[in-house]
Amino acid sequence: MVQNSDAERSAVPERDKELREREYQAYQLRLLNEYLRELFFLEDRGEIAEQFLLMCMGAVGTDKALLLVFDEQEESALHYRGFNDFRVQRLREDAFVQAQQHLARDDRDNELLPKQILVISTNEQEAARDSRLPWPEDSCFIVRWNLDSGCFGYLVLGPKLDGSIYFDLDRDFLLQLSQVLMDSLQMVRSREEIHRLNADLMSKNQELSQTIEELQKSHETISILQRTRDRLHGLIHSEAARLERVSAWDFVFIVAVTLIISLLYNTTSPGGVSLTPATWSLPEPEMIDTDRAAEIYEQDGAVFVDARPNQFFEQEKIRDAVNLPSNLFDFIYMMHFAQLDPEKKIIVYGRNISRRYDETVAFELEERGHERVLVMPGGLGEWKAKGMPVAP
Amino acid sequence: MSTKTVYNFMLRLLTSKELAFIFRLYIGGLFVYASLYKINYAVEFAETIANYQLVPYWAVNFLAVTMPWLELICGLMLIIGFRAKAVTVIIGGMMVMFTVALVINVIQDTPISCGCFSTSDELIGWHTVLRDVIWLGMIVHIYYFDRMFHLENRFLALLRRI
Repeated sequence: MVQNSDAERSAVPERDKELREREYQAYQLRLLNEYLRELFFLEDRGEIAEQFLLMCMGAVGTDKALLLVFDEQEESALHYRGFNDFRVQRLREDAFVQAQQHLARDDRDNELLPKQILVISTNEQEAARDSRLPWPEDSCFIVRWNLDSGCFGYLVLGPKLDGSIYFDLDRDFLLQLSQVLMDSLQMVRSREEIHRLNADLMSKNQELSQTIEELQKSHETISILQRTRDRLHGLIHSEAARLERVSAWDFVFIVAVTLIISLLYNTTSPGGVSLTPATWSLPEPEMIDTDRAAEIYEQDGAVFVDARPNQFFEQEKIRDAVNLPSNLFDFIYMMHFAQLDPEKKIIVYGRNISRRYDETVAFELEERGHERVLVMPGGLGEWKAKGMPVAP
Repeated sequence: MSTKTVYNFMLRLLTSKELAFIFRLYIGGLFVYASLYKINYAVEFAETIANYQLVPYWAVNFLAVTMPWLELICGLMLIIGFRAKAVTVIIGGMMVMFTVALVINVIQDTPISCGCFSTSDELIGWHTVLRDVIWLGMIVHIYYFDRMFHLENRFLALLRRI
């Protein structure tokens, strides 16, 4: 019975202790829960670190906490609360130099595995003995965490305010918190990677759209050039085809050249001729119509002169007419007219559409002193029509 | 050789550009030759025109001065092949004119010489008409088939290659 009550007596503090531990654990879990919820919205490494420090301090009940973060992608950072500034500055210098060496080292011995956490000390004595870094005074609980070979750090906590040691519960909880810290940092890294990739993608997109725009412009230029080329091509070909055809300008050109050269040559050449008919410059001869001439012919009152060229005269003439063509005028005049009485009436005929032989010869005769020279413009045609005699 | 082969051969020969080229040189030379005398003896040529009794008396001298030059220029252009088509048209026109004038005068039995090359030509007759008709045929052939050795072809070929 006594034994039983002893057992019961000793069981009561055991239960109390267990109860307290459960409450403590529950408190820590609430904190963890809260911390996780807050972390979810944080994107900045600094804020995450600060939040982490506060959480650690709250969880174990200490006013001194320090977090070192080394990252090869980011600048290394140191966050602390409660520790002496001077000692912390020393720690910072040494730690950063060491971290630089560590990060630069190719062969990384004694490396922790990714996501591994190493507890370096849990009390002040252990912390003082550790020579890794010049830990500040009052360092008590020291943990090294390792996200991966490129990102690692230390968590340092001072003594608990209630003077108690760090229990296993504290230790476990701090390890859990450190795990969460590493997860958060990894998440930030992932987010940053995503941002970076996105930005990359955006710039690539921009480049792409610029390229597309340029391509479009080039395409337009090419099509304009192509159209221009086609037009030129068509123009040249139609021009070539046009050149092959006969054009009115050809005639204009040839006629103009002919006129210029021929008229120039005619003015300068000694064999040139007057462009107007010679008879235009002669005085108007006295005319006689065919009826009157026929009367005179029947009275034998005049000499009839045929002024046409000889071959026409040979073909047909007024009977008894004398041929006196202007090109043989002097010769024939000498033969037939030199002795003719200047008072004798002379009737000259012979003209056609192209020549007025009669007027020329009449003028020549008047020049020789014959006073009664008459021109019969009706000619051989009217003569024959009146039934007057002709000779072959 | 079948009749068809002979026919095809004759057709190819008669429509060949080489024949047209020969005709072109001949007709061009003919016109140049005919023009030379007339240019130097405009007075005589004016008489020749007048003999045909077709041109009004006020146009005879003008025609006597300009027509030989037209013959010369066209003849030269035809030989070198410059604007040959247009020149062929002009030469053809002149030849038609000459032929018509001849026919009219032959019908009227006008006792004149042709005056085609000089004033001392033989008298006109149906044989001169026939000669002109043959020349006219050559000119028609040139118009349709001539395309060899044209001075302007070089330039046109260059244009076509662009």
